[in-house]
Amino acid sequence: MDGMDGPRAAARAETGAGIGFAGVTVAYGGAVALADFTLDVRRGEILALIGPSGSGKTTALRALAGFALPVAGRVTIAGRDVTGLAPAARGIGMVVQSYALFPHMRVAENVAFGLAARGVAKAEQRARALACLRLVGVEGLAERLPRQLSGGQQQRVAIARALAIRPEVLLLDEPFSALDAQIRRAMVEEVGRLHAAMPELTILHVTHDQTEALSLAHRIGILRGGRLEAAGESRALYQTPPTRFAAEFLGRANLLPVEVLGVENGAAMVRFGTAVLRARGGAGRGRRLLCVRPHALRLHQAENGFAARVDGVRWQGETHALDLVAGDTRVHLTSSALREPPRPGTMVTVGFDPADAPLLDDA
Amino acid sequence: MTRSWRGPGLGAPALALPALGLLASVVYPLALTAPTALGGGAPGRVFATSWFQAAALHTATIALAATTGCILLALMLGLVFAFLPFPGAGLVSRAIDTVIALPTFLVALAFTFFYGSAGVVNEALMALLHTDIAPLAFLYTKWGVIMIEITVYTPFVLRPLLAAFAQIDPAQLEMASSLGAGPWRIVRGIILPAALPALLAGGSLCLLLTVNEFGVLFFIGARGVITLPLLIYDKAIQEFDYPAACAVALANVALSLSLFALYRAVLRRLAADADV
Amino acid sequence: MTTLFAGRETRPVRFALWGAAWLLLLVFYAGPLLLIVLASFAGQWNGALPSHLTWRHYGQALTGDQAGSLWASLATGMIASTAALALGTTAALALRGARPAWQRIGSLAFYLPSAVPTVSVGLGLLVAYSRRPVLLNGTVAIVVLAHLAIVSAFAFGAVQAGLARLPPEYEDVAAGLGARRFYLLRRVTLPLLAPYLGAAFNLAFALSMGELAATIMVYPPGWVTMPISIFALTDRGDTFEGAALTVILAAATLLVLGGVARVVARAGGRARKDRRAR
Repeated sequence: MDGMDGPRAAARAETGAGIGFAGVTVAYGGAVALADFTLDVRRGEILALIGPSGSGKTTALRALAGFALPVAGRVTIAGRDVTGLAPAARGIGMVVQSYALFPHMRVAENVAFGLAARGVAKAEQRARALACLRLVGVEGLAERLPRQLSGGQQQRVAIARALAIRPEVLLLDEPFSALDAQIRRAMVEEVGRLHAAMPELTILHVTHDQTEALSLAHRIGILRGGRLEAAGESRALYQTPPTRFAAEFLGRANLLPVEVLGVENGAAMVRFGTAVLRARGGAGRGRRLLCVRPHALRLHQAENGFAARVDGVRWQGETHALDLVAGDTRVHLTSSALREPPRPGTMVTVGFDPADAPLLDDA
Repeated sequence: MTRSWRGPGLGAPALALPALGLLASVVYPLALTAPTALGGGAPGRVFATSWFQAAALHTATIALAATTGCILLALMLGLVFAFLPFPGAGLVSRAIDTVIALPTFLVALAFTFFYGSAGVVNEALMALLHTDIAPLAFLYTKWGVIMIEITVYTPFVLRPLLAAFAQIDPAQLEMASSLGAGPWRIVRGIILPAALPALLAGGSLCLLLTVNEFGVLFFIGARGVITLPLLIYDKAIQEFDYPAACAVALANVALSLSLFALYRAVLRRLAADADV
Repeated sequence: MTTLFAGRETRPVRFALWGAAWLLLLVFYAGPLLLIVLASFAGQWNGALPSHLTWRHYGQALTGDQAGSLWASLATGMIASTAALALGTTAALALRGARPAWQRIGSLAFYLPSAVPTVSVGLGLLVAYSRRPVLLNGTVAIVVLAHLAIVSAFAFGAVQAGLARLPPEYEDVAAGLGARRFYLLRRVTLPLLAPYLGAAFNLAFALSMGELAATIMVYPPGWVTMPISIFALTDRGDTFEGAALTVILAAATLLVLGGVARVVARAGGRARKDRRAR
């Protein structure tokens, strides 16, 4: 009755709508886990929710899947209000950190589970399960038991199982964190490839790994203490973080305390210690924070630069990491490996391109 | 309040059948025990007698002594099994575990063949000492009962104890010994504190079980060693004095439920400590 | 696992501790338990050890007055444990969806009977079912009811503990994939629970096979379970036959427990092993 055609038809009626959270509030026994959460994900978009543990990202996912019922607000999938709907009626594919492959079923049965639950004919179940296994490159494992598979293989089967029901929405709940670094990179690429083959699939990806989010997601939402701190297109959010928390959580950031002097030729003039620097434009005066990423700082660049004392030098293979001190402020700089790194205790000049240095409020 | 999804359950109506079973098998019978006791004016009459008080005293001393014995034996065996294993220790520990599945009177019967007046130990000693009087006569006293109950209930402490030992990170012990701590110091300073929750939980379970033990005492038939459960049987089946039997049963149930409350409190406390 | 007393200089301590452990094992476990097996085969026993061994006691234990006991015990055990498992599983699953407060109260109610002394349960049943409105005294039903009363709480406790240990992701994912309540219970929850259901049945069955205190209060002449037969045999001096019947009781119990464990391992008990592997 609630086959895959229901939600798809609704989606056609309201093209473009993927997932909608409107003022969603979730509380567990009095403690608010998610407060007034509003966020729209377009159809076919990959959105990553990141944040420290306890920030509400898993709660948002559970509200969408139907495992946590909001006390206020509306959850929609493809324009259809699903707020009060049972999890089984939502048409969502889910991949979790532990994979949760049913240990008593063979791989093919696992992948066909959602189809069997919907009463799809046996032969079609089998065909579609095998097709999904082929899609993720493990069709040879159909008759194995989950415990006979490696972590990466289990992950692929879990993805095949979620895709077999042809879901409107795919939920990824920390899906790669149990994998080794190398397999993790391969799986992130794999999901990207799958999405390219299924451009209509909306993906909500919950993770605490910002690299994963940056490399996979079109847009990123940052949660903090149950509230949405910031949301935006991945690159823009990284390059122009709207808040101090967003800057520090998404990648590493140097936040230099500056005083804004005025605007000149579209660039903000700021004072950092004794140096006057140019930053990415913007209105306002007074005390602000200048955000510049460690890799955006150039060693020995006097142009738009300031003086700093070298405190530590660490060689990291492909890169050098320098700990610098400018006035009272610690500054981190990374560059490709240096032939002659400066010695600790010496003074250096570091500079940056104003376009790489937005101004933030100190909050 | 937010309702959150807790996995599929059966609705409340499904409780009807189990509730009916509970009602018919436990609640209704126990509910009738009280009026039967009170109807005969039994509690006042019974609780004042010397035989009731002696039974209560026996119950308490046997239970306390057996529980202490269980804790000590489990600790000794557990330390050896976990940290000083001899070849086949795992097998022996699993064999002891199966004692949990065996009826308690089986152990009592086994003890009579080993320590009884015509048992192996006594026959051997009699041949050795050229005497006709069995030298070991403890089996048919309180001490025999206590020793049998120690055998029966030690696995209930040993099992959680070994689980607790398995949780101790070997690196912690290696670290301690590389810092110069001797084995005894490691046992006192690291192993015992880690095992304390298991000992407390297993010990209070032992206390509950030994207070209610029937089969061991019934099979040994130690003269003069009457506990509350045995007294209930004697009053009801031997003397047909149901009001008196019900009065003793009320006392026994009350004692047992207080020990159960203690056991749950210990478990809850330990769970709360573990969260911190 | 780390070995304490591993060094060469502590070797005497190590051997002393092993000696003490072996002595305790002999005194408390090995000695008595081996002797009961030996006694069941003893032909004549006047000295320290029996003069010769015989199967005779086993024959007598299974044919004499107590011929029906094995059957009575097995039947009572099977019926009571199956019923206890069914009721316990139903109760645990029903309480699962309830509000936390009700869940606590319900769990306590179903688990509390495990703390009631079994003699008192027997006495209560005797008193309650010897009078109107329900007369059961002298029937097999009262024996089964007594066993049910004693083993249900343990079965319930074991199932509930299993439910609490079930990782929630399996059911979350299944529900997300569109499995509705009963389908999910049948295809996911119960198979994952299988090891715990097996353990619950085994616990109930072992307790029932050895049950003496309540049974002796209520058993009718035609339905004498093994523990009562064993007591009757030893009480009248047939101790070797008592020993033989005791060994039969232990063997029957362990055989059924082992069989259930094997069935469970084959049917759906892979969940735990699977998790350990990660």
